[in-house]
Amino acid sequence: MSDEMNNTSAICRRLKSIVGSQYVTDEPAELWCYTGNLLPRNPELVVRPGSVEQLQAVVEVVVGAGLSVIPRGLATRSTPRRPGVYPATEGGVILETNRLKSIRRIDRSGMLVTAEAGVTMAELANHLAPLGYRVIEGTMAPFCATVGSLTGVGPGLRKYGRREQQILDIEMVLSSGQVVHTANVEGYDMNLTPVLVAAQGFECLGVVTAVTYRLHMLPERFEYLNFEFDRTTNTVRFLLELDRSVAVQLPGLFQVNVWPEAVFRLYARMPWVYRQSDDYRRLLGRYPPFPADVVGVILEGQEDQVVLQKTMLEEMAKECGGIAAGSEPTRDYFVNRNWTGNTKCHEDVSRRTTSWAEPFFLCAVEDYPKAKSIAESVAAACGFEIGERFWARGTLRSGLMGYTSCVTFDDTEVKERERAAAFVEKVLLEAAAVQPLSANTASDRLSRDVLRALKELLDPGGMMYPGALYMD
Amino acid sequence: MAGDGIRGLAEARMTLHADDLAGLRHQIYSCKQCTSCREWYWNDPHLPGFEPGVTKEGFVICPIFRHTTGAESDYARGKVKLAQGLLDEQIAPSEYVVEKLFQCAQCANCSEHCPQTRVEKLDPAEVIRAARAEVVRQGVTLPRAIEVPTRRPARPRSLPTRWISKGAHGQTGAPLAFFPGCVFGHSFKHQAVAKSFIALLNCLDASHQVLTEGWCCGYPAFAAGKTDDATDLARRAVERLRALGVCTLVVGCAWGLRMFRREYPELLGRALDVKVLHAVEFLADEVAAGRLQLSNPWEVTVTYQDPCQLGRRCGVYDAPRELARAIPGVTLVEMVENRENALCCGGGVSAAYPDLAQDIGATRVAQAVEASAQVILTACPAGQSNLRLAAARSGSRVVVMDLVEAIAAAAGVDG
Repeated sequence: MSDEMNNTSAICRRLKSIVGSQYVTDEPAELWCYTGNLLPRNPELVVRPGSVEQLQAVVEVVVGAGLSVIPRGLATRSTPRRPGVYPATEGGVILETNRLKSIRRIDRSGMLVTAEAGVTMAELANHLAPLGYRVIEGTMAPFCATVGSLTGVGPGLRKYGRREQQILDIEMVLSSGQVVHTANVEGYDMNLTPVLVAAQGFECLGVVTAVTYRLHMLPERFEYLNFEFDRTTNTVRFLLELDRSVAVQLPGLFQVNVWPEAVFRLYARMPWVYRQSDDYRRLLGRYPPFPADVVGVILEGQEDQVVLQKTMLEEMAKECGGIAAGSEPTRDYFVNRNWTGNTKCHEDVSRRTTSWAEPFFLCAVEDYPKAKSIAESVAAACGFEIGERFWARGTLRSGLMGYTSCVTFDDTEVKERERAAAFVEKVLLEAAAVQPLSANTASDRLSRDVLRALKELLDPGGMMYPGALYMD
Repeated sequence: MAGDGIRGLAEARMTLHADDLAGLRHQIYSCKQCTSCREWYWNDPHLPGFEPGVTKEGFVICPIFRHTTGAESDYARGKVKLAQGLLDEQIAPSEYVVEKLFQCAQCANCSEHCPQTRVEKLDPAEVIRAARAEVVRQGVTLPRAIEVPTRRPARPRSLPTRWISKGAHGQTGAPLAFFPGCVFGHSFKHQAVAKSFIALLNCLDASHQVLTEGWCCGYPAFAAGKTDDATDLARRAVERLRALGVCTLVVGCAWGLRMFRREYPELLGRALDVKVLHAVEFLADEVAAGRLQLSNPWEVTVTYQDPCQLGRRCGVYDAPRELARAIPGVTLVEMVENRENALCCGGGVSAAYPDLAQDIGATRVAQAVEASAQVILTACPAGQSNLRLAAARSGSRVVVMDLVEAIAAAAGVDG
């Protein structure tokens, strides 16, 4: 037997003594189940610790043996842009956190809740709802994702502020086995939480074991409204109206998403996204030609308040030339927003793509048509086919639109990576030319540099999720 | 609500009959890894119907996952991944792979909740079955506990007709035929159900014949991926039905209904010219039409266990409930997971993995107790058997019986 096999076997035995034999596997077929759908890279082992103490011990053993650690939650891939879930390189030990199921504390006076990484958002929501509370995880977060995974999810939410204001502390186990709290990193007297929340990539720093959320009161009612606009100018009119003249009257306005036409070209091939709504069946039946944009609005609040605001919005949309297009997000909407490499829009695409590049910038609402045009034209110029490997979404924030465009690419190909990087760079530069506040190439580079610096500080050996963070 | 919008897995039927796992490549690769096949929550604040302040429990979709260590291959997502591995020759059909593929009750709860079912035609339970077929085709020796129950008998075993009361053989060539099937026909402890139904037919004075030739409907072979055997059995069955002049076939077993109604046309490539009903459907029609009177009261609280093959695969949910409610004095309560969301009773793995089946059954019995049911009614012999054992092992006083027996008692006929 080779030394390598001996080593893996010995490591396996040690890990079994820590977590129990049924929670460690080196069975090849089982390891296969933990590989990516598209470019499978095989881990050495899969370990599922049942407590933070077990997890620490596991990390010490694994890193001590020279193996890398790949944190993993439920692997729903529901949080796009996150490298987590599958190995980025061959080898390594997948460390599943979904047995960490404790909701440790609910602090009603401080309005905080601390949940372990394996708690799903639905479990947390169901636990808090009878108490009259909720956490703000963003409606784009599906019920099935785990707390530990969702710390990387953006966007800002109109009513409750930015994501960084919702997560107050992240407990992580570093490659040294040390447990740290981002709210107060021992020895450094700094709060890293705002830096890391929504950073997408911090699982390259450590394994998230618990998250502390700010609690909010649970609204009496939610209402989901979708409006369809066949001309982008009408979309902008509506958004401006919504933002400027109505916002102060709509305290319940939770989130506004704009789904541009290009996305619906993509969705036309994936009708499951809205298939449950009769309105959307009608909408999809009109392809081509296709509506320009769909604006999704989420209201929440007291029952009568929401009803009133819904009526106001419907009238407003009508005045702006839009029509109501269904008022129910379906389960599938949330489950199927996994438009990543597993997206089955085209078999070749889904087989080839493993990563996605997503330049994000802020622009004035009036500049939304330009933003859309920039993203689409740059994507086309870089050879990313609209509707196949490109999608975009806008999120209305206070006075601004957050515009996200995304291309999918095969990250194993150097030329593909260069093409994706070029796309990001060009979009941000052109957006900056349109609106000086918008593109933030400087801060984007800064955030990358910050993350790399943190990586070198907290994981000097590079044992956490190697290959997932581009260090060059 | 879980299951909403993907109503009727039975309606969203796709033709899979994959002798050929390669034919399912598109479906396999359309798996979105969303874990809808693993667990689901009803009271999600983001979904319509959310009720603030009301706790509704989540539930685990896969009965196997619920009672194992929770590894990836313990539920559909991982099993579909195994199928992908076999398809792409990335993994070998090892003993481990065989065990994981056959540790599946084929209850199709995963398929019912899979968001890819309707559009991409991904039916995870069928993919698992196709993977089994691949394993069989590769000549892998199945473990005895798996292989023996699926072994095709050399020749049909005629049913012991002594238990069929005099006159109940009915009339050869009668267009209405009752197919007891192997379990009701051969298993002593289940013969009461067949006897009850025959007694009901006699009570209805319905001209009928009882098919006692004892051929297998083919479900065990079909579920195990032995599609050729299942097809051969289907062909023979259809030939016999034709020869016997059967126009309406009533089956007592949920597995049998699935085979005759759903799978035979697919396997044989043509529609059957026989109307196929489950006994509960037949009786529900008779009661609704007033031809069958249920006059014996039964003061009891019952719940109904939806057999997976009868419910999710064939879409029969209402008829058994209508029947149960038609019994005077009966109060019907629902278990927390019912109809499209019904938890499997474990019967589908009872032959190969009896302990696992019992654990699954115990969960279901506990749910019945939680619903304050004194009796679990069902319409499937495998379910009845497994739930009875589970109730006995757990010391529960819940009685498990077939709905046909309950109807016969209510009608005052003796089986």
